[in-house]
This record gives sequence, structure tokens and C-alpha cells, in this order.
Amino acid sequence: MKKIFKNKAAFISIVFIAIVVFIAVFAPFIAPYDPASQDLSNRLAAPSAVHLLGTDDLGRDVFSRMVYGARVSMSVGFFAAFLTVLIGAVLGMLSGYFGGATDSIIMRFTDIVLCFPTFFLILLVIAFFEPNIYSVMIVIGLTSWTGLARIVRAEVLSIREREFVLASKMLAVSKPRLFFVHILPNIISPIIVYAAIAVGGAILIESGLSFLGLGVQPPMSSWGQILMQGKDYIYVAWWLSVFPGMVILLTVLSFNLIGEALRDILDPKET
Amino acid sequence: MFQYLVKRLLYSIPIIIGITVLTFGVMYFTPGKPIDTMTDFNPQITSEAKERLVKLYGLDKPVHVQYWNWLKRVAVFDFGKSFKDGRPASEKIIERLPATILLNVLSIILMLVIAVPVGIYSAVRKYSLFDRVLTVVVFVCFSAPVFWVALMLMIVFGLWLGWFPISGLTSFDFSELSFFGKTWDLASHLVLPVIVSTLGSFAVLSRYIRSGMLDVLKQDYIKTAYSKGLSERQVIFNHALKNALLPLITIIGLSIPGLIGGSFIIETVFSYPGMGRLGFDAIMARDYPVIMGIGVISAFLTLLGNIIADVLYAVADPRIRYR
Amino acid sequence: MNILEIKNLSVEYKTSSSIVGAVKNVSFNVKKGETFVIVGRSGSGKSTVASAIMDLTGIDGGKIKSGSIFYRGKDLLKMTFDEKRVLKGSKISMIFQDPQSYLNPVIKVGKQIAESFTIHNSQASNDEIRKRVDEALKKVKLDDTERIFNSYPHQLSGGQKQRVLIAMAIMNNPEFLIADEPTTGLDASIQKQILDLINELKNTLGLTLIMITHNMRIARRYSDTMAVMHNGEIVEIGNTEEIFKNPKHEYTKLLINV
Repeated sequence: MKKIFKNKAAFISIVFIAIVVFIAVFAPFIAPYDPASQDLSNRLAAPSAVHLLGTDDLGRDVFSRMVYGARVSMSVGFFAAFLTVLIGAVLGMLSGYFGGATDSIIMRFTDIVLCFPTFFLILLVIAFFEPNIYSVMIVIGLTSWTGLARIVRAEVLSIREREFVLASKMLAVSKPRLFFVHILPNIISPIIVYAAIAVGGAILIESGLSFLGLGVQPPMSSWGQILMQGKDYIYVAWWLSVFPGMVILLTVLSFNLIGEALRDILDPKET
Repeated sequence: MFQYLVKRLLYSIPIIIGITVLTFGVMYFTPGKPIDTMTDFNPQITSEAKERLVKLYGLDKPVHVQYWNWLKRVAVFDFGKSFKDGRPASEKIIERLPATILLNVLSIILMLVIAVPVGIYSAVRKYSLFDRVLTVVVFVCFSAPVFWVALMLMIVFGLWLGWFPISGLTSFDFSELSFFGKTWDLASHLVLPVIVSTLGSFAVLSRYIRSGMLDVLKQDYIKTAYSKGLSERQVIFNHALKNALLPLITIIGLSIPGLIGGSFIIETVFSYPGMGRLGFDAIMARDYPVIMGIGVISAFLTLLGNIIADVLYAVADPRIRYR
Repeated sequence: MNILEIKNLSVEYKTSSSIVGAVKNVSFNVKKGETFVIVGRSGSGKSTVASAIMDLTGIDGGKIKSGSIFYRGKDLLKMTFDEKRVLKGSKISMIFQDPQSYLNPVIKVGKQIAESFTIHNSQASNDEIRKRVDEALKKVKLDDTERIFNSYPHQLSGGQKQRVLIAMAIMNNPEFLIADEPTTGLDASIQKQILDLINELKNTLGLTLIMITHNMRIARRYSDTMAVMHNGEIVEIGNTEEIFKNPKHEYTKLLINV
């Protein structure tokens, strides 16, 4: 744990994420305006002391909308990543641990899911169910687990090969013991790394969906949604498209850098 | 080699069946039935007429019968007629497919042209300034929202500098242009979409190449090469390169679904007339036949890409070729 | 006459958590024409010495901390990479343990052998190159030259691969050959054939040989002079027969009595 603070990039990333989470949690106290209150006399105002990041086409304060947008991005990111890890890790472990027919079925299923462009599947399901924050979380979680399932499976297989040799010598090692003592601790690292990167990935997908109008719906605001409005006003209101994009980029970048730092720390054989 | 190919093809059969089951399943279990789309907005359709339509499309039959009937039509490339304009869905998709393939093939080429030298150089000069800068660039590219990058490029190159058109594939007066005019027109329309669709995958790929190359440079046969008296350049080009680039074939195969998935968003942002935009519009309009057609076709393209990649790999790697 | 003099050589390896001294202050001389064997268990630093002579230390992440390696009076460690390049593979050659991984899997064997020659003879014609490769293959008793030439490494047996590596090493008639555990990874029946071949080539080509092994019987049978390494240091060095008859260091005794 100490090591991650030594890594400068990772340290800055953690601080950045902490700030975003803080903003998300205390959004009502931080946002200077009601994110949904319109002021049609003050449409598309440029950034100023009154409106830090300007206003949108309905005169809403962009800074306030982005503060509330942090709630959407963070909750979608964490929950979708949680679901991704849960599905991927469980399927990967089942596949690697039991082998045989279980393994074949799970891996063929993974191959089939891998054949579809993930984004297409997500668009499809979201469009047909109600597009809202919950369906977005669930669908991202349901479609992003394939990579992890494969990684965990491979890891379990290689540990099992090693440990079974040991186990057969000691004879008395029970299967559950083998699993909890030998296998589980060893697959935790790749899972943690994948989780960190999955949060960033989920935030990207959410913003993409919102950008296409299929994410969270107004009056709720999200970063991708502000970008969607900004797209129609790129000539006149650059602030609508520049700031939310920067924030998405920095947030996702932070999660990726944390993931990379974790990989270095947890898996020293990689260079 | 022949055995390998047969095995590879046999292995795809359950995958093909799975693709059709998954496509059908997703559409079957999503709320709202195809008939609703056709009838909801048409007050003249009575409930009897609706019943007739349900019968006509066989929607009253059990699910496995519906699947089987659909599968039989898919086998002859018949996805039904588009709800929107009544044209065969397969025809609408095929019409758009070349534009999407063009976009993605160009992206793959550009991606390779940049990622290969960059990845190799940063592996060979590990931890140099170049490598560090590249690492930052890679992480930024990988973390940037595609559509946002598209917007920014549209602002800078399309609006401010006016270098490239920002939407469509051809200008309105395309048909009147000379051959070179046409080529130029097409090319300038392609610049921004291709760059955007290359960015993310270029980042990932150059990372792969870097770590692959680093791995190869630690191999024992590299020591043999150095002990023969080869220079670093000779070791890299004569011995390391081919080994490091072999896995690329597989990686490109695996990147196809990502590229097609990216097409949905890129084509929509750039109003690019490809399959992705058609798919997005179809999803928004709940045009079932077109959606299912695109699902099946993109999954098949991916599978085909993977098979081709595996075959090419087998040809390129003597360990498989002469087994 | 000493063809090789190593003085106070120290090599370090950096692992993720610490720096390991793989070779500490090692010195020895190798006389022209002799077979010099370095014995020791794995991790004793014996292969590290060979890597240092061939300038391969960096590839494994090691670093030469201090010392000198004099080849014919010139310090290899003070030469530039390109100066050493002229010697490597022509005057000083090396063969490795586990022939499987030391041949490039995607290049035909013939091309790999030819490369050893062409790298030091850039003017050679194709006919000449082919002739030299065939000669080298015959020297290592691979008479089926046409097939071997057009094979990929995985199409050959372990023994054949090691012979190919030997052919590569003797391509330019070197005066000095380093054999790092040349029979590890080979079947027991092949091991003796390979050792006998190396020994025979040493005699016919007038080579000076440094052989690295963990096997005391091999050391006794093939060497004139022997150095025993333990934890990165030479604990005993001298005439092989004398050491076997009268080992002085405890560790040497332990190795002999196993």
C-alpha cells in the first residue's frame, strides 16, 4: 500500500479520484446553482465569475451540472465495475477450477459474447429497456466481463497445476482448502487491477451512451449528456464540449494509471 | 496444417449457432414486440388487424419454432424487410457495409503503420524520454472518450482551420467531380473519422508491441544472436521483429469487434454513411429486421476475421505450418 | 601462454526488490589449448562468468561492477560494443544450455548458421556461404546437410539442435569456445555424444575450451583445469586430477562425495 503513494502518477490519480468522489457525495453543497433550473435570459453564457464554466442552451449552470454529473459517472463506474468483476471472476474461477464440461461451456459462451461488438449489444439493450442510470450500470456490467473471465481462468489453471502436485504429496489437502488457501489469494491481484481499469471503462461507456442520448435522462445530468448538447453548439459555445470531455478524460486516465500502478506493485514479474 | 484448419472450422460451428441464439434471444426477451412498432403509431390498425399481423409473422408460435423459422431465413441471408421503408434488411446493410469496411481497414492500416515502429522503438529504448512520453500519450489516448476527441478534431480541423469536411463521406457535388476530384473528396472526408477510430486502438496496440518486443528481447535466441557478433540493429530486425510481430495477427483479429463497436459511435458523430450509423438509427427506430441483421453480420465478420487471423498465423509461424 | 585472464570480476543482478551479487571478485587464467571447467550448483554464478566474457550480461539485467577480462592482453570490458562485435562469433564463440530455446524458432536453421559466417564476411558469395555451412554441418556430424539446411528448429531433435548450435559456433574457426552446460536438456544417451563431439572439435580445430557444468563426472573426464564456484566466488581452483585426489575446500569435498 505504501508503494502506491511512491508512484507519483498513481498518487496524483488517487487524489484526483478522491476529489471527484468528494464532489459527487457532497454535490448539493458544492453546486452553486440547481443543476436543473433554467434561465432562458442567460443562454449559452461564456464562463465568467457568475457561471464558472458558463451556461448551456437552456441557461443552466454548466459547473453545477457537472458537479451532479460526477454522481452519475462515479456510481455507474463503481457499480458496473463491481458487476463486471463479480461475473468475470466467478465464471473464470468456475471454469478454471472445475475444468471439463463446465470449462468448455463457459469458455464457448465467452467466445460467443466476444464475437459481438460490445457497444452494439449495450446500445441495443439500453434502447429497448428504459434508458436510465440503473439499466446503464447493469448492461455495462453484463457485457464487460469476458476479459477478466479469461484472465482468472488462466491464473486458476496454472495455480492448480502447481498446487495439485503439492497437494497430492501431502494428501490431506481438501478441495475447499486448496481453493481458499492457495487459489484465491493468487487471483486477487489480477482482479484488483482489472477492477480499477473497469471503472474507467464503464465511465467511458456511460458517457458514450449519454452522448448518444441513451444514458441517464434529463433532468438528471451527466458529463456525456452535457457533451451531447455541446455538440450542437460547437460554433458558439466551446465550453459546453471542452470541459466535460476534459473531466471524463482525466477521471478515466486516473483509474487507468491506478490500475497500471497496481499491476506494477502486485505483479513484480512484469517490467 | 490441413488438420489444424479443419479443427479450426469445426470449432466455429458451435460459435455460429451461439451467435444466432444470442441475437435471437436478446431480441426475443427485450420488452416490446416488433408488431408494436408497426402498430402503435397507426391508429387505423384494429386489434384484429394486429392479430393477423402476429399470425403472419408467426409470433404466436412457441419460441423454438420462431427461432427455427428465423434461422432458416438467416441461412439464406434473409433478415426480413425493414419496418421503416419495407426494403429487405440485408440489402440495406450490404449497401452500407463497404463504407464501414473501408473505414476500419484504413484504421487498421494506419494503426499498424504508427504502432509498430513506435512500439518497437519504445521497447528497444526502454525508459528513455521517448518511451516515457509515449507511455503518457498511450494512456491519454486510451482514456479519452472517442466522441469527444471527434468533437475536438471537428472544431480544430473542420471549423477553425477548415482543412477537412466534418461529416458524410462525399460532398454534395461528388457525382460531377473528375476521378481525382472524387478520390480527393473521399479521402478528405475520411481523414477525421479514420484518425478518431485509430487513436484508441493504436494506443493499445503499441503497448502490446512494446511488451511483446521486451519479452522477445529477453529470449535465449537473442543471446545466441548477440554472441554471433550481430549489432543491435541486426538483432532487432533479423531476429526479434518477426517473433514480436507474429502475435499481432491474432490481436488484429481480436480487435475487429471493438472496431465495429466503435463504428457505431464514430459514424454517428460524423454522419458517416456506414453500417454503424444504420445500426444506430435502426435501434432508435426499433427496426428489428435491420438490428438483427447487423447483429448477426457483425458477429460473423468478427468470427471470419478470427478464422482468417488464425489461418494467417498458421501460415506465418513455421511451428504450426510444419507440424 | 594465457589466452584469457580474468581479474577481480564482480557482476550484480538487480531484481525487483534487491541487488544480488552474482559474481564476487572472481579471478582466473585460461591457458591456450586447455579445457577449463567451472563447476558449481545452479545459482553459483558460473554461467554469469560466461555471459560476462560474451558481453551478454546486460540482456538478463545484470551489470559488471568491476574487474577486467583480458583476451590476448586486451581488456574486453574496456572495448566498445563494435570492437567486441568483431571478436564475438569469430574469435570467441559460445554454445548454450537447452538448444531448444537458443535457436530462433521462425528462421530456417541454414539461414541461422549462414548468418554466423556472413556477419563476419560480408563479401562472401552465396555459393561460398553454402559451402561453408555444409562443411560446418559435416564437422558436427550432421551429414544430412540438405534437409537440416531447410529445416526449422522445431523439426529437429534436441541433439541435432545442439549440433547446429555448435556448427554456428565453429563457423569462423574460433580459437576460443565457451560451452555453458552444453548437455542440459538433452537425453542421457545424447549427452556423451555431444561432449565427445565438443572434445573432438577442440582437438581437431585447436580450440581453447571453457566448459561450465554442474556435473563432477563430466568435469573430471574432460577438463585439464578446474574452478569450483560457490555463492559467486571461486572456492578452489587448480589441476583437475589434483583437486579430485586431494580437495582442500569443504564445499569441493561435498560436491565430489555426492
